[in-house]
Amino acid sequence: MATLQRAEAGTASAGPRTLVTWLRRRVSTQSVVSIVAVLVVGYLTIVPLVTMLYSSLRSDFLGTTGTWTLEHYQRTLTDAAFRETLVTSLTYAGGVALASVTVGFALAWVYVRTNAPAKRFALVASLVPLIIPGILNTVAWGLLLAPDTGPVNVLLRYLGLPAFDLYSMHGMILVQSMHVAPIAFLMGVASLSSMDSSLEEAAAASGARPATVFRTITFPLIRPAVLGAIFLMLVQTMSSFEVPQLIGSAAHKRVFSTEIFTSLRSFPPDYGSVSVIGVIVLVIAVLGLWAARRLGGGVEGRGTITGKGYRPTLTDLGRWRWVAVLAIMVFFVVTTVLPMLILAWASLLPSYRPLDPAEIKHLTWGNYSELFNSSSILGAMTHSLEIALAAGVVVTAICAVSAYVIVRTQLPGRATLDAFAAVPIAVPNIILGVSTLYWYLVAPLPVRLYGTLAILVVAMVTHALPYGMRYLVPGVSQIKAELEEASLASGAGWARTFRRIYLPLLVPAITASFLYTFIISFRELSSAIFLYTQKTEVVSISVFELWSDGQFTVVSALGVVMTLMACVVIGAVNLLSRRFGVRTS
Amino acid sequence: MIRVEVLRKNFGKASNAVGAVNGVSFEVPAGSLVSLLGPSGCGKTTTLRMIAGLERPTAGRLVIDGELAFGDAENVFVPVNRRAIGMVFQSYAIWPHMTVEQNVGYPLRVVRPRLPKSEQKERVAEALDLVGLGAYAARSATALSGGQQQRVALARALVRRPKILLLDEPLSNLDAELRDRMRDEIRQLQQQLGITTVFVTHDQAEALAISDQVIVMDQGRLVESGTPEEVYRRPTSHVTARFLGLSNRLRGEVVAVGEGTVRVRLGGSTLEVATPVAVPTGSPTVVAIRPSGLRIDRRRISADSWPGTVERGIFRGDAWDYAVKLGAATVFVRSYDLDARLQPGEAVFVEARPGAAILVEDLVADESRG
Repeated sequence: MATLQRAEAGTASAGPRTLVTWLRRRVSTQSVVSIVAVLVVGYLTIVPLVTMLYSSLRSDFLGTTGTWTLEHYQRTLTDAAFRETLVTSLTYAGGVALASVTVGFALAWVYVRTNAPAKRFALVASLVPLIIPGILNTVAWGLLLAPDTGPVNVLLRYLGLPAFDLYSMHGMILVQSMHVAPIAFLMGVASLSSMDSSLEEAAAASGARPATVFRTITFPLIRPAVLGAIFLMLVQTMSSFEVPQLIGSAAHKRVFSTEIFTSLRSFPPDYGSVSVIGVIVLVIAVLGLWAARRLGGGVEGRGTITGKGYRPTLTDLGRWRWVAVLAIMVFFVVTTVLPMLILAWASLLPSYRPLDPAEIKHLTWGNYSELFNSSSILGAMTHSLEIALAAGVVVTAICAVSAYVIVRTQLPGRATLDAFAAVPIAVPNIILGVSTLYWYLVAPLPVRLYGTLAILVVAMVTHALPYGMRYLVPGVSQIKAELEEASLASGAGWARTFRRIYLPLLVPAITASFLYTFIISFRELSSAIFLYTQKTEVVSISVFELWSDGQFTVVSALGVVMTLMACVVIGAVNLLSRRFGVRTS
Repeated sequence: MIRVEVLRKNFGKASNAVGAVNGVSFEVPAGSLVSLLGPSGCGKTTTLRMIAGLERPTAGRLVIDGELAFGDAENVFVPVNRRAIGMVFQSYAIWPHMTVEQNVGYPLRVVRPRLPKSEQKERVAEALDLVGLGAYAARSATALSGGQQQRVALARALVRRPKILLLDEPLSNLDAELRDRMRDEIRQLQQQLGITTVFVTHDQAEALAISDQVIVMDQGRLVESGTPEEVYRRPTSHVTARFLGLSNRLRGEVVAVGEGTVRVRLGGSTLEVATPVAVPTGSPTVVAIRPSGLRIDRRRISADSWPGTVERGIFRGDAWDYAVKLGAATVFVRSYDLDARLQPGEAVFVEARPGAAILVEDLVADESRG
């Protein structure tokens, strides 16, 4: 490669000595692109957080007369109500993390490492809940577990069992866990399939019983991944807004996200104490990340040790295979079938009634026509689609370039880039929403982003960056450096090589990154709730408002339409990538 | 001793799937080393894994050290952790979260009844000394080189003093020089300890050098077995012949039948050829011979030489391999005479060394069918 670069420089100097040729000789396309990547990613992830920290230390954030102060911290930390919120938040987040990681990793083990039948179904069953937005999941369970009329509670009472109290800490944990378990499942699949099964076989051949093998070999090896997953669930749950607001408020359980929401909705908004809560949540998240890494001996470091020439061997479950399948079915029914059924049912009713066969004759499409005649809801849907598409494209573009810089180049900025892009992992989404709001309220920029769709796109992009990297860094690593070098040796420049060699080979990773960003941006509520205005309402906000107004039937119709739209987009993108992508396996 | 009786393993529905085993029988005498040799997917690793108990056979019987380990008729299957074996995996399977000492001591910690701590320590030290890693006990296992990891895996397999040692391509991840050294060390250890050993490999040189007995497998079947010398010099199957470098195939006709040999006419001359089967006079046949079993010279060597033309030469370092056109056929001839460099287009004479040519049973059968 050194010779190639020298040859290139030689050609350039032969031409006329213009500024362009001078630049070309001094600065490579590669380094320009890397510098831009570092600046963009740094701006997106660091600036809002610094703004939030600044506002927590200022007596008057928006005014010009503010002074430096620790008053906000003092007031918040000595407040008994805040301490109660802290305990409630940690209980809630901890409960969800344990429940979802247990379920997710157990399903992942069945899927990756056993001979349970119907694996294809297991995969679909575990991933479909990802499509259902959290707000809809919450709404659906609000209907399913309504204290008197909810069909699940009716059934429980019919069976002589006590009804389940949705409006409690258990209820909050249950609903949120079902929503995030698929993500834990995906992390479990990744870590279990990257583990060399001969490590376990060697233990068995040494005379260890299956339980001993699990305790001494399997668990220590997947522990980093388990801790990583628990941490991620903690952060995601701490930023979740829908469950605490729709379920927790009624149970008088106040957590950070509802506290922030209430403070910002009051007049005048208390920017100072909100940013203190934000900083505290951030500190908790960072401490959690640090602990997970320490206890796990490096979250990424040791988890993926693979021997050469290994193949995953499957555990024979014997008759337990059918139990495993049953568990997957139950999971699927509870996380997907029941919520979708109740939404579909409610969406066809003229006004909300409990599940009753006698209602069938009253079923109507009225809610759907109301939906499609409401300009505000149609507008919100359009906004959500636009935001999700834009965020998907931007995140994927930034991550493709950044992943390349981090994996393939020796440029000095790559470690910084890697660190910047990972920051949002530790930032609960709700904090991201608040800090983005703060920054654009005071940012000395020529254009005002507050009140536009762009500010929502910026927040979604920042939030999705680490997830995009999660797909694209391994994607780039899989492409051997020789493929790039062969292109350079064939006479292509770096930009052309990236476009002609990397992009086509990256199609699977690009698709995954785009889809993931699209899905989470389309349904996002926790940060949107602080960034939308009347003119830029998004669909998750519509759901939230319709539910708060008690319009259960219309909100259900909207839920069905949202889910169908997500399915159509996913299907279309999959078709496209199959058409244009390179088959890698 | 290990006795394998008509062992079978089907994966899924297709019985001819890669790695499936279709009724294999053999015996590993106590204290001897038997290699399972064959191309990838031939079922050799699956057979080893069935002996280990990592794979449950579909049918057959397996007796290890006088005890029934598997029998479909008796409905017996002893799980892997109850079989007194030591096993070395292709990937070494060194546990990254343990030190060398902890890796090697693991079998002693998990097997009941447990030895006293002091004796465990002694055994671990002894096993590490055995493989020459005594000084590395406290090291993190992942900090070791490939060859050292291999030794750790071997020490771990031997620490329980098992009756049976199972080795699954243990040398394939090492570089060439180290591979030869480790191979000799494993053989030495095996003989010193007198441990009954099954060694899986796809490398013929490795199998020949290390084994008391070689078993050649292909497509889930045992194609032949014998001492290394037997299978090398008198292979009965074309799979073995191909695998062991009998790359020249010459068509001829049997002209006379002798005691264990036949005289075959090849081109203008006849050749005495060893045969494992009776072939009638006048039948067409195929003779297999290694490049090193042929001689080449500018002058006619004897009356039985075939005249030919050199097509090209390939330099092998210690020898030249010449492609020589003999009538319609092209054969490869190895010449260790580096000074007598033959040029393409040169007229030469080729002849078989005595005893180098053989008839391969199923090639003969193929020929008589076709």
